[in-house]
Amino acid sequence: MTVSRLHQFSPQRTNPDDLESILVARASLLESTMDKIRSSSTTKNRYHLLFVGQRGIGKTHMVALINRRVELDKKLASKVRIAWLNEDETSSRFLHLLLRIYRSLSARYPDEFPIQDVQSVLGMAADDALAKLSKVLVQRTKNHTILLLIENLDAHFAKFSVEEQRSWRGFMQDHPIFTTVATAQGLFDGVKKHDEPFFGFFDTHHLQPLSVEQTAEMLMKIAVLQDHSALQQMLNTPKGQSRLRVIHFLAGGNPRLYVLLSELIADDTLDDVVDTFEAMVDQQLTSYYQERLRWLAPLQQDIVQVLCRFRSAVSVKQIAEELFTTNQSVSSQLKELKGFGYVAFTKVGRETRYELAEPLMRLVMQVKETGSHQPLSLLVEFLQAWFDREELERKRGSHVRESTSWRYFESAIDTYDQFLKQWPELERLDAPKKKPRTIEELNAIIDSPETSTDKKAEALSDRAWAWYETRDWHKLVSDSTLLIDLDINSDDFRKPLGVWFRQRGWVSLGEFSKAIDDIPVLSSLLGEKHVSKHSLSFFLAALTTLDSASLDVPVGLLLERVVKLGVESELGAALVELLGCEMLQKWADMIKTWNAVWQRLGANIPGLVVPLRLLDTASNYLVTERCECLLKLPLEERKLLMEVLRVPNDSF
Amino acid sequence: MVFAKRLGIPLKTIRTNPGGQLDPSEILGRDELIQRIWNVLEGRCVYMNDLRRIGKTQIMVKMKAEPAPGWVCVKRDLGRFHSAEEFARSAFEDSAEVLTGGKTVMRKMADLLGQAGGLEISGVIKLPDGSPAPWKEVLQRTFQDISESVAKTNQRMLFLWDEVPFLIDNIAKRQGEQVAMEVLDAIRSFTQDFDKIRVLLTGSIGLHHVLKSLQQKGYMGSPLNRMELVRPGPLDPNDAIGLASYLLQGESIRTDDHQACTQFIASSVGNVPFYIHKLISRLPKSETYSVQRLGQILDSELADLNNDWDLEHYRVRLGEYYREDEPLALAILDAVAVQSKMNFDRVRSAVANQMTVGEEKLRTVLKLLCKDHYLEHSHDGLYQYYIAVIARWWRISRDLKELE
Ligand SMILES: Nc1ncnc2c1ncn2[C@@H]1O[C@H](COP(=O)(O)OP(=O)(O)O)[C@@H](O)[C@H]1O
Ligand SMILES: [Mg+2]
Repeated sequence: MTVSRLHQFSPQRTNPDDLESILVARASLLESTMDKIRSSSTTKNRYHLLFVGQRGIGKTHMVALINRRVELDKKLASKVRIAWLNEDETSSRFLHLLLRIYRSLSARYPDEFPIQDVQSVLGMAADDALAKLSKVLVQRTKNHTILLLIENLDAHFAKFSVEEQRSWRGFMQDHPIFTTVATAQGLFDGVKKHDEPFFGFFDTHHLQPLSVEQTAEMLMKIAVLQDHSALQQMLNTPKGQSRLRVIHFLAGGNPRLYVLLSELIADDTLDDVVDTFEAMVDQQLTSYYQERLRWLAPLQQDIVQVLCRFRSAVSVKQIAEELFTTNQSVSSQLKELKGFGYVAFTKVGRETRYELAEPLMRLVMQVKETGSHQPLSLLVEFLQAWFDREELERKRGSHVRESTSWRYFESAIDTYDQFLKQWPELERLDAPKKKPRTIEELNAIIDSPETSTDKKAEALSDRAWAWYETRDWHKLVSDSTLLIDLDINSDDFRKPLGVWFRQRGWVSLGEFSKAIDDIPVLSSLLGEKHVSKHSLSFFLAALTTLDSASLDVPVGLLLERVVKLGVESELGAALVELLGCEMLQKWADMIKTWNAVWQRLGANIPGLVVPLRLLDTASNYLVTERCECLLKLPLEERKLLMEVLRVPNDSF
Repeated sequence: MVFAKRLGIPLKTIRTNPGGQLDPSEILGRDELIQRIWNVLEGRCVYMNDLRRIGKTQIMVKMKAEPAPGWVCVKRDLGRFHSAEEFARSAFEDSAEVLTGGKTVMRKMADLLGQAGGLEISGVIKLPDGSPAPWKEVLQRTFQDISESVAKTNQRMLFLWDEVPFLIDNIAKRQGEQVAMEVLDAIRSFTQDFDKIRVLLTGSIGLHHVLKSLQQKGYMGSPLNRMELVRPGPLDPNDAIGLASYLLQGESIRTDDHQACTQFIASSVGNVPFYIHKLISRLPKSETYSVQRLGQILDSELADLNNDWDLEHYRVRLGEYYREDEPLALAILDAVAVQSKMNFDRVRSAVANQMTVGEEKLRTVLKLLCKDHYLEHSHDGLYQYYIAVIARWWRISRDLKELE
């Protein structure tokens, strides 16, 4: 299977043309770097760039492309000599570094930098060797510029004493032959602290994580490059897009992870994404994150582990207590960790709370810790149900803009966002547009054998609107049933409208089982393969019209059915989405009882753990209006809830 | 092009290069200062001291690229060397390289080294018997040789020595404080003895830091006291605006008002060229910038706990510098940060709101804050931050609101 080839995308071993063709997001940084290299080949300007970003963010990719582009530019290549140091070696002295640079030049340009030069200094006293090698290198370089490509600069600095750093920097100042492109996983004291020799010497650029759109673009490019048609196709489907979003939500924008996880997106037959995901956690992700953990200093590792254990954002004090150390030392390490992209923080008043920046890291570590895959699979399932909103948008797209069907779907989409707020507009939209017809006139049209099916459907839906407005539920049910049974095209908007009316009628009449029976009917009319959160949210919206005392029965029945159908995550998604409706926010009382019912009756249903946690938190937040409540949720869940509740990011 | 001219946008373009090495043509401004330095050098040596990254090294680069008539220059980063011997060797070799006639004119040195002298490249200069040549003697003879040689051509010699404090610290660590002190004394006495030779010393960290620790070990010398102290400061506002303008052009960054934006960039970072380079290098090219947006970006850059500007340093070191006077220093800096300019009386009443302090004490600490590059005291008697971006950071990090 082609997918497995993707895993080999480690930049050093990949054909540079391929790296070029899958590049996203970094084109402008790369271009400006090339400009600077060009400028350093024709002037006395010397640039020292440092690209900063976590493992897998694309540093080596950039370096490999720079190397490639210089090579391809004949004019530039004639003026620049490239020393690309082996990524895994580090040096502890400037002399060693200079030797490595010389060797690397010698391997690439053996005539210009004869290896004998190196041999001639071996065995000398260090100072003499350094003096000699320096001189030789400068001479051999002639009027070229050496482009030094050096990865893991942080690791070098960790080994270099301050005196060695002074030697290096002084050499570069005295002999401006180098332009440098360096990389590091994070900013480190050696370049960012005022008193260090290299303070402010490097022009640092943070490689930002990719956005969803950029990851989609990258995967598409990979798919095209590899002629991987399944992935190409899947990326164009709502399902593919929603899988991508799930991954993005959990993993952030680290390109290497996407390459790793692209299989999850590619395979259409992959019914159980969750299983595959978990297999990947076992096989690749765990070791990936462990490696990242190992890269950290010991106290930093301890802190990350504490953060893994906590589900919520925690204060410095809490962490310090867990680790039996001082607030001060924890606090300074947290700052570093933030720079490396491991932790995120939120300010609550004067206090700052910390948590892991990448939810996936916590989840993977948790899986390891407890040996239980439960939380991960639940979350993934929930998110999968959550992110299929695009399907509906696409449906809308398949209709002519401003046509009645289009408008129906348009309102239905709004409905998810602000269900009850949009309610009157929906009425206006579909209420009789020409001259309003009386019930008598409608009766005549409906009863006449001459009336065409289409006209009849129109009249029936108009009459149903009338019953709906006068709260005549029996008549509403009977008219909408007629409407549903009419022989009209099944994607005619009036059919789902009929179901929606009937459901509303049944609920008001207390016929909950019947209303629930209509959920799959609506779902199939909407063209869904199985019951989705959309069809469920229509029913939930109807439930919110009941007074709280009578919620127990319908909620109980609904839960029974949902478990039978196996659509717990979809119900969860619908429940969460409903929180975004304005009316619930206004009536804080209602959310309280609503939440209480769901917590009580849904407590033992595993698939509802995540959404009920969200519901409970939201209820707390809406009642107290205190943002701190939200901090009890782990980051990934909080982000989602804040979006739903439209809580601005800077509210804390 | 024509349009650019008409809009007053300069045609010269420069690429951002914060912290890197500049082509002399891209080192802007400093002309008056450099002229002043040359004038001073007629009579005495110069010690240049100012904040890190303010542009001291680039001044040396420019002086070396265009020396004043009658001067021969050598520029060296002494942080590379770890022993007095290496330092002496570099003085010898560097001068041999620039003097007309090369090593042949270094006659006193030739006497010392004999026939094969100085041919072998090595860390230290060796005597004919293979032992290292005594560094003081090398320096002395080198200076004598230079003096004689430049006298013939009616020239003078200038050593532009960067990172002197690093050198002294390196030597102290490897060869002991005693040798470090001797090197300092040698530099002082030779530059006094040879009128044809001048040195311009500078470094990333102030030499007085290194001196202080040597003094604790019993050092009594004062190597700087006959030197003229020069503090270059930021660029002139016009040069700073010009730099911002060339950089915006060079990076193809769009603005809604070129002039207002360049003015803002220059003034908000206090006309420090390094910060101008740095701020512009952080601007994504996709946007069109307004003054307001630039302010936001600068603020978020400064507020980022993990930025690489390390302005925090100015806060942290107060404790070390001022000890029991730290609260007073803080109160003064807080007050000036929100007012931009204050005379002594206003500083006094602002501080009085927070603590009782004697007037003399206040004057002393104010003076120290000026000496340590926090504040400056202008001709009209007003105190303000030496570098505007530090005031800006100070307000952000201490949650202070600027007063109109
Ligand atoms: N006159 C100038 N014109 C343009 N840029 C300058 C100038 N002086 C300094 N810079 C910028 O500031 C950076 C630091 O200058 P540098 O001379 O190395 O500082 P210092 O030696 O004082 O620490 C340079 O790399 C460059 O980006
Ligand atoms: Mg310098």
